[in-house]
Amino acid sequence: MSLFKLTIPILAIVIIAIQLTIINQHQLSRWRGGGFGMYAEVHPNEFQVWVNPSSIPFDDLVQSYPELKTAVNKTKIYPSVSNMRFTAKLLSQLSKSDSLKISVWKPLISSKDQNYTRKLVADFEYIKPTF
Amino acid sequence: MTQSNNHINTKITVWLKVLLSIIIVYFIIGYGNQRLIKIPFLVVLIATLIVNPRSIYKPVLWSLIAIILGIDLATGYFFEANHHFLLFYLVLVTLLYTSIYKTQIFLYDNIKYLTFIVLALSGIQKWLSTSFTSGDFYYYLINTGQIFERITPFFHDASQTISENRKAIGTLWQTNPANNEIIPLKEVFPNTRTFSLFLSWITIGYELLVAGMILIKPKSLLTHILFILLIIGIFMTRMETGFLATLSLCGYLLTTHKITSWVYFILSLFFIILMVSRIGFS
Repeated sequence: MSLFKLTIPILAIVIIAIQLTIINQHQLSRWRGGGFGMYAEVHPNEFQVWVNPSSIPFDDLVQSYPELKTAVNKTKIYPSVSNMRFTAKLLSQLSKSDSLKISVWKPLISSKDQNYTRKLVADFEYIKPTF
Repeated sequence: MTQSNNHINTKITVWLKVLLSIIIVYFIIGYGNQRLIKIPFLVVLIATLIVNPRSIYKPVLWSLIAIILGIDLATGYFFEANHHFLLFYLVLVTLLYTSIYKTQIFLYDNIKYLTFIVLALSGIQKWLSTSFTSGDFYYYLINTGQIFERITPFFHDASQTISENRKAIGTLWQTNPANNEIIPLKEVFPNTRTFSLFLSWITIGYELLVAGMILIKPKSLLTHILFILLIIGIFMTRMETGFLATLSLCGYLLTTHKITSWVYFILSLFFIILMVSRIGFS
């Protein structure tokens, strides 16, 4: 069969290669990006986003504003600089904070030591522009 | 020859109809974003189907579907589920089949390679994940009741252990992760760790085995018995109905045996109905 007839499987392989590259360099979840990595690791829904300062009512804001909830979910799946910046900026606007830091943490389980902790995936510090 | 051609044509017709059913259900229950942009394409799609039911053999219908699926990928590439990608590939193959290539061997070989890629990558991604190969991932799922919920009740105090683990994790989440606090996890049954490690490697090996057999022996009865068992096995652990409907459909096209064809066909419809009923993950 000529290669032209296999365009779609070749396309799938290219998309997979892209996904594997982004996983390694930008912490994209294996669950997304068309790499068929579901159930290879903890789902990003089980990641935790933590916000400093703690005076910001983060949980309440996420429940109250669907656009923030969507942005947070996207940040968990793909904690790139641009996604984190977008989420931080939105949170700054909604909480009327001039500066904040968001960090994404993933569960780290050790079956050998029978314990659970959290490991930092990425963080981002946002300072509201003064101009 | 005429009889076998008719048999193949009937099979492909059924395949096209089931693929269309999966897509229509997927569109209805997972309408997603960019709703305004999709409306004109959906209107033309439905009108085409009603006015000309034979349009499933024409590229126009599949072009419209590819555009709608493509809109989601263009606007949320990193956030779409894997079966969205798989459906997109199947639709593109069908578009090429109905427009340019029009041979059943083109359709068969493309579905074969796509099925192989999906299963092989599923195994390879797990192999690349240290949390999977160490058994830690399954260990976590078992001890938080996210897997084998139907089996763990046979173990004494299993549900209480799961509840305690979940509560401990919930309490930990109230604290700053930067404190690096570590909490113990209780095991639901003895030797959960060994079982998790064993299950991890069995999963990788089995997925790669089925992938290899699909590639090398796509028409073998044994290949499809193993593939059907894989589909049922995935369903028993997690109800990924959209993905399983699509996988069953791929199996349906690849097998040449009547019984396995029927099994795949019924499985596809079963998973489609679960999607409609919003049971599981679609």
